[in-house]
Parts: sequence; structure tokens; C-alpha cells
Amino acid sequence: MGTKANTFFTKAIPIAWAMGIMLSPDTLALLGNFVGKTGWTGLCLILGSMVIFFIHAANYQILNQKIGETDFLMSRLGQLVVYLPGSTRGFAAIFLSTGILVSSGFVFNEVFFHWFPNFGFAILLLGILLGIHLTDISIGFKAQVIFVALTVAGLLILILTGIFTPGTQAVPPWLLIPDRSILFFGLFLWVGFDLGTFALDQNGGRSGKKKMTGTLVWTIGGTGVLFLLWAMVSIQHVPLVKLVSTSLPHLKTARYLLGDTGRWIMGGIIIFGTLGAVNGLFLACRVNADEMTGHGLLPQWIKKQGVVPIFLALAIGLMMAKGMAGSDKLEIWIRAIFLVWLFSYGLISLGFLTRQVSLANLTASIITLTGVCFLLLSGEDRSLQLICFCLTLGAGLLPGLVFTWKSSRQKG
Amino acid sequence: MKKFLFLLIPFTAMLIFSSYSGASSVSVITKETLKKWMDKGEVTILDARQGRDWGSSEFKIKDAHRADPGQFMAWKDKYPKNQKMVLYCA
Repeated sequence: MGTKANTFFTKAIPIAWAMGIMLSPDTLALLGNFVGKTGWTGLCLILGSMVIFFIHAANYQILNQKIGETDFLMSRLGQLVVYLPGSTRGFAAIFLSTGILVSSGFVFNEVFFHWFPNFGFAILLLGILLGIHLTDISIGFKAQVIFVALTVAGLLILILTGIFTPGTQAVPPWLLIPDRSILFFGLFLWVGFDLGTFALDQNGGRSGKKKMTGTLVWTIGGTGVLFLLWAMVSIQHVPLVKLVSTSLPHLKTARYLLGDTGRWIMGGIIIFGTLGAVNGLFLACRVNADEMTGHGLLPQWIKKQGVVPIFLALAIGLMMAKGMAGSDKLEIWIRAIFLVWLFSYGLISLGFLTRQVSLANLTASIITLTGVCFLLLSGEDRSLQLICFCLTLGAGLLPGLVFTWKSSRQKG
Repeated sequence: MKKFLFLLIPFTAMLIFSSYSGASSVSVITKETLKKWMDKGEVTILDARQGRDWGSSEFKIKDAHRADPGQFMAWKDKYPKNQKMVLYCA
């Protein structure tokens, strides 16, 4: 029985880890607003972006099965970019977590218990996650599977309800694309899938590579089906204008589907989705830090148990206490961090092209990097977004620059 | 487990503190009073929530105007001064 449970968790961990950010409440909100703007056209764009991420997922599997992300970056793209993916994940772990934990606090207060303070609930969730991460890492992995499984279960209940209830909205068959950047908007949906690759190291090292074959690609496919079904249900049951005009389109869809019961289910999805995303990011930062310490890229004390989660929890707690969630700048930071993350996917594809030119990687890198440019030049506060993007990118490249300079001095 | 409990105590303290700090220095009205004022049309309601405090909330008071506390000078003359003004935040 115990062995069966262990086998289940071993198989489920990479999937749950990869799905953590993809099923976060922010991604669901983004998806709802996106299909509200584009209608059925949006579904085609989601499909297109999914194809691009099949290529990225296949790339990550290959690089993790062979040498791992750090070695891959060092050998193909140079020491300069070696810190970039890790630092981007670290920024996301602080900024995105601050945002979604606060959002969950509001949901808990408004959907479940009005008497419970929203900020208090956000802090409580952070405390629970920190508690999990101060114990053995395996607890974090098991918790990840449970959080994501509950999120998926909730979404499936609502999706099935939507499918078996006749739609009430007459949706125009195709909507015009309001601006060119929206063509690339679907790329945001898949950010964070790469966290699943870290599970490889946790499941018996690279010798266990065969077990992982296809897992990430299948996870992208499965999540894509969830996204498409949820998008379809949303546009069939909620007027498009309402999906666009709200910051909580997923909660609105749930309310249209099942009234208060729908709100409760979506409330649960938001809270467990938040736990899945934040826990996934905490796990990734821990494992990433371990890997980089092993390569001598970070000081050894970072590897000590509790250092990474305590640092992250303190940073998030400070951001919350300083009222960052009440500032529009947080959204711009999160978007900029996601753009740097997308940029790093583009770089990995380019890394593959350095050894072998393939049409798939050429397409994936061109579309992803073009998308980053278009998305960077769109949005409400472009100049601030550009500054945040450059700061995040700079913070990811600076340690690499120092490392390169130190290595060249040692060699010299 | 001990570590977990050790950390849970300050977190719980923060939780309690966060819910009550600052609340005593602000005059508060009941929702019934607000409803009465709204029915008579003698009140301007300003929603001072920003960022996620506003975006993550499902509830918005009808006819409330969004007002950024950081941009006070920009909107201070926009609303009638002879009316009651009610501000609400997260």
C-alpha cells in the first residue's frame, strides 16, 4: 500500500509541480480576460501557444535528461546567463506569491467568512507554507500534489457543469484582434511549466530519465485541454463584455454556472491554486539553489535547511506589510517578471539551435522572443514595465557577469 | 513540528494585529446608514482601494468613484464639498 502511494506521488510530482503556476488564480484571470477580448479566436490562439510550448517542454525534458539546466546554459550560452532562470524564479516567488496570497485572502473573506481578516488569511497561508518547508522536502512535494489535485478537481466540476448546462450567451463566431500584442498573449498561460523538470533530480537523478519521457509534454497537453474547456464554458455562459470588464472573470463564470455553490467551488480553486503556485515556487527555489550551490555558483550556506524558504517568506511578508499588493506597480512587476521568464524560454530554444538547427526550435524561439517584444511594448504603463523588465533581466545577468569576470581573472 | 509551532505563534500574532491596527482612529458608519444616505442621494462614495485590494475584491459599491489616495491633489476638487463623503478601503 505504502509502495503504491509512493509510486503514485513519484509520478504525480513533476505533473503537479509543472501545473502549479499554470493553474494559479492569476493565470485563470488572465485566461478569462483574454477570451473575453477575443471570443472563439482566443481558443485558436491558445492552441497556437500550446504548440509552441510543446516544443519548449520537449527542450526542457531533453536538457534535464542530459545535463541539467545549469550545465546546459553554461555550455551552450555561456556563464553570463547561468543565473537568469533561477533569479527569475526567485523574483516570481516573491512578487507573484505576494499578489496571489493577498488575492486568496480577499476570496476567503468575501466568499467564505466575512469576519476573517483578508490580510490575516494571506499571512496564515504564508505561515502554513513556511511550516511545510521547514520540514522534510518530501512533505512539500506531497503537499504540491494535493494542492494541484484539488484545484484540478474543482475546475473539472465547474467545467462539466458548464458543458452539461446549455450555454446562454450568443457569441459572435470570430472576434477581431484588438491589437497585435494580443496574438502573443496566450504565451503567458504556460509560464512556470519548467518547474516540473526539477522533479527529475528528486526522482533518482538523471539515471531515471526514461521515467520522465513525455511527462512535461503531456502536462502541457492536459493543462491545455483544461484551459480550452474552461475558456469555452466561460464564453458560452458569460457575456464577453463582463469577462473583459472584471478582474475576477473566473469567479464570475463560476457564479453564472452554479450561483453561490459555484463561488464556493471557485473560492476553493483560488485558495488551492495559490497554495500550488507558491509551494511550487518555494520548492523550485530550494532545488534550484541546491543545484547552483553544487556548481559553486552560490555560497554553501544557502543550501542549509530553511534558509531559502525563510528568506522568501520574510520578503513576501515585508511586501505585504508595506502594502505592495495595494499598488498597481505589483501587477507591472509580475508581468515584467513573466516576460523575462518567457525570454529565458526563448534563450533555451536558441541554445538548442547552437548545436543543431531544427525548424521546431527556430519557430519556438522566434515566436517567443517576438512575443516578448510585442508584449513588452503593450500594456498600461509601458515605460515602467520596460524598467521592471530591464531590472529583472539585469539582476539575472549581473551575477553571471561577475562570475565570468572572476573566472577569467582566475584563468589569467 | 516544534519549529512549525515556533513560527506559527508570531504569524498568528501578526494576523491578529493586522486585523485591528489603525481601525480605532477612523470614524465608521454602518451599512444601514450608508444605504439611507445613498437612497437620499446625499453622499459621494469613494473607493480608495488600489491594485489587488481593488482587483481581488468581488464587491464594489454601486456608484462609488475610484480615488487613489496617492493622487489626492488630483481629485480633491472633483467632488461636491457640500455633500457627505464616505471613503472605503480594504
